[in-house]
Amino acid sequence: MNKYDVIIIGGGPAGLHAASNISSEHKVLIIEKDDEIGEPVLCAEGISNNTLKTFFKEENLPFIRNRFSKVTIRYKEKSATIEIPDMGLLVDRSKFDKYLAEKAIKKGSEIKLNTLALDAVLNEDHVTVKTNNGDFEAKMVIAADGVESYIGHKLGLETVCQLNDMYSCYQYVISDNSINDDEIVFDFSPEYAPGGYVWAFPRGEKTANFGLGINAEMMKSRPVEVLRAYKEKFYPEAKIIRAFSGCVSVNPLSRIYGERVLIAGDAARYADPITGGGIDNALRTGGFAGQVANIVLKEDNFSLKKMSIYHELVEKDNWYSIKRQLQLKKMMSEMTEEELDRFFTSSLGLFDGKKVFSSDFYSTIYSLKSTIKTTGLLYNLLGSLMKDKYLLKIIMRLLWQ
Amino acid sequence: MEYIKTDTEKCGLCGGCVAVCPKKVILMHKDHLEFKEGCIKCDKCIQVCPSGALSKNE
Repeated sequence: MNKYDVIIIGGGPAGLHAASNISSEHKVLIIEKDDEIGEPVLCAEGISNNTLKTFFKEENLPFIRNRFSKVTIRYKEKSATIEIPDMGLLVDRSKFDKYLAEKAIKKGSEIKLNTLALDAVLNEDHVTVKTNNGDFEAKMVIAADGVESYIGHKLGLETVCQLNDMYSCYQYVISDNSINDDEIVFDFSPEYAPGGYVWAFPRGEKTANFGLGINAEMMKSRPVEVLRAYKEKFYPEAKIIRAFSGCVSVNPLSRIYGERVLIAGDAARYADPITGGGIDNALRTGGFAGQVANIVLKEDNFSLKKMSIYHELVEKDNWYSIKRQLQLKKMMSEMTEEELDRFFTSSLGLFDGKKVFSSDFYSTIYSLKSTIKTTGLLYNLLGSLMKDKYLLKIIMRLLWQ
Repeated sequence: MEYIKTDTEKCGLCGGCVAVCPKKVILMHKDHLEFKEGCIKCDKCIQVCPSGALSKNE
């Protein structure tokens, strides 16, 4: 009998973490299209120390590649570096996903590899999931099928991503003597990555995940070509170990639940709108999806109204910060180059050389925003610290959100 | 003949085309893309592709 309580579509962080949060008394099936959990890795692998501490209390985590404490922001010929002790780390995504899978299996979940969901049909008392490996039935489905999500749409949800919310990316794994293993680098120069940025995240031993993401609507040249040119200019001697494309979609779906279905992680478009980081929100939304599955299974109530608890939990958790990030993303993508010049010149000047201590900073941009906010507050207190009217406008906007 | 042609050497199976397709007629298998019927020729999949793997079949 191919009958389950929950079928989770996608064996990535969202789906696997959802499974770990579902009570062992329920029968859970995770289906994964690839032949191995954690492969292939299409990820820049950066997470904040805050995410690590929130989701992994245990010692000796096997998936940590490298920790960093410096962040450098580049904009055209300018750059600024700040030090935030314990800021973040790079994970080995292959090991990371396998670690999550082990937890899910220990909880009693079953994982079927090489199994691609082709269709899903909502019936009166169950959902039928059709795969290349036969049909399966469950009381409910958690769609955690990533940026290439297909099943939410089949179950009647609006999942189309607009070009302006899509970041087209290309990444190399490089080895180069110029890489500082303690420093992550973001380059916001619009000539390379309009609407996005170029990154170099240290993997340790002078290797880095080096890539760029361009807003698909603003794209003039393909990421594959731009990255090649950027490498020639800034890392001419670097050895390319691996090269691959990727896509990041932002701006959460208008509805992330339906009758007998919840959508989690990248499939729900829950990546960070500014950094594009998807792991943190995949774990958050996945965790909530698992918790809500426990509630609706216990009550045997899978109505739209009941499933909406999921939306409430997700919104309460992080909607405010995502909403602000989306506003900042929109603001930045609408700026002219001249405005961007002023914005970055002012921001970089503000925090260069400052040592910021806080374990609450979950991303570079967050710390950048916090710095601006703090300075804005100082302005209000002291009256005349700021001289740049344009920056002040931005500070005021940030403060008033 | 399908409207979209995939250069399988260039395609990194990143899923961007699937995400932006307004008709959801692209399905990503573990080793290839499948284009189903119903394409409205909006070319968004071509536009989003990081590696230029998709083009019109001419």
